[in-house]
Amino acid sequence: MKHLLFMTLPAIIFTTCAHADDRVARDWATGCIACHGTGKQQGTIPSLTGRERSAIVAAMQEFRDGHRPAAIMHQIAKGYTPVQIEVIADYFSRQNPATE
Amino acid sequence: MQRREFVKWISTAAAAATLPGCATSLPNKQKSVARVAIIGAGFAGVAVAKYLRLWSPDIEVVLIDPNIEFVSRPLSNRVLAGSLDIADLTRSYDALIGKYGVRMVRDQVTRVDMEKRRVLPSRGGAIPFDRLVVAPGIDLMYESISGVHFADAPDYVPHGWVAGRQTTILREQLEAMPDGGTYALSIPQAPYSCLPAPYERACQIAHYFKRNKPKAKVLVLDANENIAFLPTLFARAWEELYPGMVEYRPNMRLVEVDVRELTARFQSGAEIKANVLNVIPPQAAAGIARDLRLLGISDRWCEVDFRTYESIRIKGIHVVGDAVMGPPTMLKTAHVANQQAKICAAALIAILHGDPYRPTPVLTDACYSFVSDKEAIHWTAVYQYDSGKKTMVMMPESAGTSTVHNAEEARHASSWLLNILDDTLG
Repeated sequence: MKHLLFMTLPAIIFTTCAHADDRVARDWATGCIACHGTGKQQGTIPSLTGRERSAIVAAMQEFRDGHRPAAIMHQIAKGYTPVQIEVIADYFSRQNPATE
Repeated sequence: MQRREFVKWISTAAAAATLPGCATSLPNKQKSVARVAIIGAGFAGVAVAKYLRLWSPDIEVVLIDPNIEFVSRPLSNRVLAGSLDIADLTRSYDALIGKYGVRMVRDQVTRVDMEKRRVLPSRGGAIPFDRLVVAPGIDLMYESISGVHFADAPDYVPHGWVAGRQTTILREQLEAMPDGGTYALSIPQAPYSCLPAPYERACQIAHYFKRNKPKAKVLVLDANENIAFLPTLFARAWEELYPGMVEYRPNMRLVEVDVRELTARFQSGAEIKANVLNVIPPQAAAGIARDLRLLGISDRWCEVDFRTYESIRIKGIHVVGDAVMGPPTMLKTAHVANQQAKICAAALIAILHGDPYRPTPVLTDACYSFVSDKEAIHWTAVYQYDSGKKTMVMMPESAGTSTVHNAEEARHASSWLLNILDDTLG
């Protein structure tokens, strides 16, 4: 029961403050778009729009730990907090790649 | 577009802008809660305009700039090498107007009446606003150099610093230069917009010479005491890619130019004659920022609250882009301008809706420099807002560069440009 509460607590907070959280997520995630684009793939930098949350979080962790080869992301990944990475990953996972 | 045609077009645009009813019409018929006027349609101003409308269509946005097209300064050094054409870097403002409903006024702002809260453009009628965003970029301080005080001096000793006609003039001079001639590049004291750009330029011009004028020389005359940014990477690129072609001289502060003789005189007394003389003057926030008394303690740049980009000096005016005095190590790049603009837009939306929300900013800089036609280097850093220090603080582990120039980053740099242009204007 305790475990369940822990699992659902973030969801409850997220639902009750959905509006505020959306703005925080939007404001943090929008920085990534300058390089990663608004949804269509242009050149070598991958689009993040519609990507699975867990895939983004895992990639950022691997960049941080040096387990994933990178030209620039191994540096950028170290500038974000784990919470920011979770929130940003969640934001992109909810975007529809077909629109933007 | 021919000049006459352009003037005619401008007058029509200015006339249309003053039509009654034009000011309040929103494409989606939404009631406007407020109006934001933005001076300057570069990377910073355009991104504020787009994101205000994207995130809050009930805010009316008027963007004022005399340019009819957007030309990217990033990657414009590649035009000098002949690797890109100015057209590759040029975009229209159409999507901004048609897709996002930004009202564009092609005009020069001469004055702002803060009491009545209205912008006074040189040709059209007054533009009232609730909040003003100033994104004017930089002014080139020709007054600090003797001999270049006439309007067309840059035609003889081009700066090539504002991409467009100046880039083309410099390119034409390089093409006309004889093999065995000298191209001299005068670099001002930091800070100026995009610290690595002059050194990237030296690489690009050396690349052009290597292929087309192998006996020509690139003479870098730097007012700074060392290469102002990424010194090891640039020095290595010059040595490995252009051996014997690039000569670097530090502490060369330019005081006088003879535009007829193409001679530059320096504070040390040294005189240099060149076949092509590329003078990049010292820089400061553009004149409108000075007129509005937005300059801070440095007397060159504007101090802002990094949560909102509202001026520390004058409430109700926000400043974004190169005109901002950033924290130490933060460059004046298109990427930083883009990030500042989005934070500013988010804050403005909250302020104009009476909402207590303020962004907790995180800002990334990613800055690429091409050292040849196929290789590039980068600088990156992530900055987080520190509420105690009230500034953006660089996360030390995130700050880094390439280990050496490489082809992979050249591909990323090209991809970056397409994406940031799309993010800004698409």
